[in-house]
Amino acid sequence: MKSNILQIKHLTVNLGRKRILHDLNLTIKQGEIRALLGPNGSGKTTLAQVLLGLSPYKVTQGNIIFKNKNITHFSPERRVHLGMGLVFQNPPAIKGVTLNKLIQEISAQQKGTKVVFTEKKLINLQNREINLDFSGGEKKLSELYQLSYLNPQFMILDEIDSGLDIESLQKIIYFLKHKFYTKQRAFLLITHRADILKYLNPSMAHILLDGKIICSAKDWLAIWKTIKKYGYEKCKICPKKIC
Amino acid sequence: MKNAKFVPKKSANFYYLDHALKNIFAPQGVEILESPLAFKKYSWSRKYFNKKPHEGYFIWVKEQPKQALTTCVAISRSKTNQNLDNLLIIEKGISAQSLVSCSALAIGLCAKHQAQGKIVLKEGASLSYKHLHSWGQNDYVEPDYEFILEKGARLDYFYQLLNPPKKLIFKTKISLGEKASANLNVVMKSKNAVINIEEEMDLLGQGAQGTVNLRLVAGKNTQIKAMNKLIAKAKGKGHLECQGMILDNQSSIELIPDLINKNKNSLLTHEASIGKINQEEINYLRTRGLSQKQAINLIVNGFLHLNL
Repeated sequence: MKSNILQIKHLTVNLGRKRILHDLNLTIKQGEIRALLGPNGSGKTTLAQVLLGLSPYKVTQGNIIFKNKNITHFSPERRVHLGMGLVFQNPPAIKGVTLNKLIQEISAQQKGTKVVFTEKKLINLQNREINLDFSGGEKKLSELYQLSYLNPQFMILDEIDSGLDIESLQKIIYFLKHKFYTKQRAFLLITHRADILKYLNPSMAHILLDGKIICSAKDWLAIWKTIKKYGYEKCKICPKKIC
Repeated sequence: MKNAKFVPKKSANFYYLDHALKNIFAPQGVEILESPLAFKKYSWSRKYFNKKPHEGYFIWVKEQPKQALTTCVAISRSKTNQNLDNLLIIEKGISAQSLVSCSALAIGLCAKHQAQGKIVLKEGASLSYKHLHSWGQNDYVEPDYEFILEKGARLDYFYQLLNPPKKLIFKTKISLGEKASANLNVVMKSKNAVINIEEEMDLLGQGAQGTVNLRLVAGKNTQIKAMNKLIAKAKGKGHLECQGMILDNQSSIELIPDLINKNKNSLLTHEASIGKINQEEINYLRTRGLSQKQAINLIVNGFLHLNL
């Protein structure tokens, strides 16, 4: 039986005085792919950033357990060195720092083997300043390339499919399936689109609304069909809280 | 910010330590002398020296050099007070590169380094001039350089402050003749320092073009004041760009751009910004395994274009 890689227990998070996440619980096992769905502003990206320990969010209650360690108050870099990785939805541009320079810095931190990642398009990206005038596809490719050097055991993909045409999306899915997917690596897939769910086939999908997980189901397609037909409002009034 | 270790090149074409000449090596077609000797030997040189020099270098490039000319001035003794008068002349049509370093060899010397210099680019000459400074935390430093560009001359000047002194007064004046062009880049990353920059670029001849690009980072307890003057007296183009980054609440950067256009066909422009480091960028780099300090260092070096 596979062990838990991540446990989120009664997690409550504030931004200033505003509560963003409420009493959130989630457990993910090694090798699992989980999907997290929800409308804009429901707290999906906040959850991703809180799991990585990024400011300015404040955990007011609950714990995050990663590989049996309570990492709730660990620094972002400590979490990354433990095996967490985040693909940003909108990664910031950093002027004057090339992708190659960042890869050198990452390589200096990391020990052990990395994911082998070769792509012709990367040759052009390597000498460009990170995310500066990158297209949507280039940003995602750069994100995965960076993570290939970090070799995380748990990857959060925050809307990796946003802003991509179908060709770019298929390329990203190909990389995920063939370069990153292993029986040990777990994924939390935050998305608005069914395409990527179809290809990656998560073992469970969750709906996040107003900072709470209000529905979890193994049949992601059933959830998706409900959302498509009735919108997330239906989930709010659904008594079963499960599709 | 980690201080970069700076090692002077003892095999430089001109190596001067404290008040003593350590090495002179003049390649073919280049004459290198100590300034007092040149002042005596060449009466014409006197119009360039502001006063009778006591120390400093004289470099006269008469033929196309095959390699970059290196000049190294260093201080090793406590309370040394250097007062240099330097002159570099590039003859007509010659293209040269110059690497200049001025440094203190230890951090607690309480030394003083003053340098008045003239760099003359004759008609059609071009010079790539790279100037590095590395000082101790109690030093006082005052370089005052004037670049004179004759018709069609071209200057690329890159100044980098590797380790700041306690006080730096950085004066530069560039005079551009007809169709001459100059590109001045100043990069300073400092902490526990007071820095005054006084820079002036004069577009004197028709078709002269000049750009000034300042990148300033004020680390811990640093005050930087930059006064940049761009003057157009003939038809020409000038652009001044200044960007500052403040890393500490006890620090400040003051930018004073001064654009004076005396010719209706000239165009002078400037852009300036001063801000703090972007937290989103720090967060991003920390998710790549870098510590906060490493992330800030990478962003600052990127801002200063030192990574490119």
